[in-house]
Amino acid sequence: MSNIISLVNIKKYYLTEQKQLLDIIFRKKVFYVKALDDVSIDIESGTILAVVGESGSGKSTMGKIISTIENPTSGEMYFENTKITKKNINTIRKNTSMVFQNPYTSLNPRMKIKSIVTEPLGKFNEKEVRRSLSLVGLDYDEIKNKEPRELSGGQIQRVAIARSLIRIPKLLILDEPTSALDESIQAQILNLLLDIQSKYKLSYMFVTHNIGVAKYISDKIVVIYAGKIVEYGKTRDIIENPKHPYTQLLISSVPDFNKKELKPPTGDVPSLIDLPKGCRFSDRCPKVMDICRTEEPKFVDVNGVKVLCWLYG
Amino acid sequence: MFLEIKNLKVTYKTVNGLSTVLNNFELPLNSGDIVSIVGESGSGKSTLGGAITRLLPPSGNESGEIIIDGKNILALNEMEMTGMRGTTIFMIFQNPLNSLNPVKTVGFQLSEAVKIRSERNNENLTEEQIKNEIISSLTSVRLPDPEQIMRRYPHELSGGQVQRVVISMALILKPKLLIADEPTTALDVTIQAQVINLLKELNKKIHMSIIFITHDLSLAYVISNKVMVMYAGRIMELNNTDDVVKKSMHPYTTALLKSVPVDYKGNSRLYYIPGAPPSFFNLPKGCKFNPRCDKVFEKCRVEEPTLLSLGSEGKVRCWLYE
Ligand SMILES: Nc1ncnc2c1ncn2[C@@H]1O[C@H](COP(=O)(O)OP(=O)(O)OP(=O)(O)O)[C@@H](O)[C@H]1O
Ligand SMILES: Nc1ncnc2c1ncn2[C@@H]1O[C@H](COP(=O)(O)OP(=O)(O)O)[C@@H](O)[C@H]1O
Ligand code: SF4
Ligand code: SF4
Ligand SMILES: [Mg+2]
Ligand SMILES: [Mg+2]
Repeated sequence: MSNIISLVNIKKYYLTEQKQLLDIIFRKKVFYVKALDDVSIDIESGTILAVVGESGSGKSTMGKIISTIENPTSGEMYFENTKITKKNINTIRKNTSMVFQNPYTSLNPRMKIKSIVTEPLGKFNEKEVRRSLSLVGLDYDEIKNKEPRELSGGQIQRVAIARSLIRIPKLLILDEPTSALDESIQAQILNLLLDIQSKYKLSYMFVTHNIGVAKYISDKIVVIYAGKIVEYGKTRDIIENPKHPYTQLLISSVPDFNKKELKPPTGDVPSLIDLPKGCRFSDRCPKVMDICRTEEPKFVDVNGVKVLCWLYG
Repeated sequence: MFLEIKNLKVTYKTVNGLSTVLNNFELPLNSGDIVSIVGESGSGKSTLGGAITRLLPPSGNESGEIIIDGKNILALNEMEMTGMRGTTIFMIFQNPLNSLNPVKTVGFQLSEAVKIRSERNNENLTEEQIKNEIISSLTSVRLPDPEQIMRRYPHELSGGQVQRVVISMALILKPKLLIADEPTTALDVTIQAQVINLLKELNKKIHMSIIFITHDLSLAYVISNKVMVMYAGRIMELNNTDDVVKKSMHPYTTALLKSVPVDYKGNSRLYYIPGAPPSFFNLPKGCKFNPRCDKVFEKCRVEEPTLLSLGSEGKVRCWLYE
């Protein structure tokens, strides 16, 4: 199976903003936010990977690194098995696009729809804009001269998707594309994304905190906690038999029609500046053991699912 | 009956003229109920919440009767209403920052809340007791390091933390009715689950009634004992939660339920409701849902059905049940 993208030991450390200047003047110890810490993952060509995890866990950072909006602090990235360097970074740029959570803020409110959709091409191309809009079920002639505020939430998100498809990318990074939408509109967008994906054999990285959506849309799921992948495997395996204690609690936090009681983990995500020693989940984990507080666990393969937890040896 | 809404009318002044969002709206609520109000965006959920708390925007106007504990709050003057807010009714907004004063510390605002309640109940509390109560309420919403949180201003906390401060305020005030308008939409699923469990606990412990506004049906299923489905400013279905979710009657409810993703990839396509909710300036004749309904027939396009009572609790507005 060939991979559209591979991340190998990717780290992304942000220098904490406000302290930066003072730190330089006073030569204080600098603080890093470890937004991603040693992340390795493959997205197989033509498949959908869902990325789930709490706010601040590093999901968007991963999307930004793959779409080259941000540079990793260290680690390697491969696009279709070719290592990305400064020289060939354009191959990946040409072939990936990103769709954001809030279409109202991610699209320029004063631009006409036709200009928004054509922008990634650099120049206006009516034929391509027409094609891209019709892919998402919008009529070019009806919508071309409208502005975002004249459209409904669902229509705007379609425009954002049309824009991301205009250069016919191979990989689409979707950062919570439906979380601001009503369920009925979400259903339309999810159907549409699946249709487009199978028609053009695209690959998606789909960030969501909605487990129901992840289950419906993805082939594989990766669970991130505090900048680390903690579980990674086939969607069905993860939903039906989550192995990592964090994944288990994440799934039991999500409301669905089969349960009346939610059982979330207690407390909050740790600060990414001052992480707990050993396993990052140890201060919230109901199954914590002595070793968890001193040593970081390593990945273990449990029936094809990768798990980062001492429970599995 | 603990809350009774009769003949409620809410209008908004807009550039296109007056828009009537709620008209002849009726709703009874028992003490201790948790009722979810669900429906697509623009169906009038927040308008109803704003009307009950009398916190509609300046362009809004309401008339009719909203009776809480025997008092018609629409007949109260602004000062009497201020007295009701907090002690009898408390509102949590989607944006938690709207519920707190940005220039006062968390500790100050919570101590005000303790004072309001202790005045109402003629409790005589020392400064020490007030502080202890604040700390214990912050601890019970699982905020770490309460003394530190008390010294902070709202903008120095994360969204989830602010929302938990607002809930600790409700814990302190012990209102009889809590109206929560999408209180968890901005939160993570794990914090959402913590907040939902806290609200359920409050409901059990102090018998607080809750009106929970959401567009998330599975969330409604988890938190409430009753669900009210709203469309175009009307109650379309009102029933016990299990009946609404497992045996929905109204075609709109059924359609909403079908659009929730529950299956694996490739097993089925998601259903979605064609079209969009109507504008209040241009409501269709007859049943307001008829242009989007897959069960529509002749009569639906001519005459609007009334809200029919079916069984002991159920109500539905649809000609199929006439
Ligand atoms: N430009 C930046 N400078 C400093 N810190 C940053 C920057 N961008 C992100 N971070 C930090 O990196 C961590 C991961 O952030 P990221 O946006 O990837 O999270 P996320 O998983 O997408 O969260 P959410 O679900 O809230 O979108 C957070 O602690 C965040 O504050
Ligand atoms: N301040 C306002 N001025 C004018 N119209 C408004 C105002 N707030 C809401 N509306 C209108 O009232 C209707 C119901 O809105 P709302 O109660 O916010 O619905 P929901 O909460 O169900 O999404 C919509 O048509 C909306 O545009
Ligand atoms: S390594 Fe230990 S603390 Fe971490 S998740 Fe596993 S059991 Fe819990
Ligand atoms: S009254 Fe008619 S159009 Fe309205 S919901 Fe019932 S069947 Fe559908
Ligand atoms: Mg993000
Ligand atoms: Mg609303």
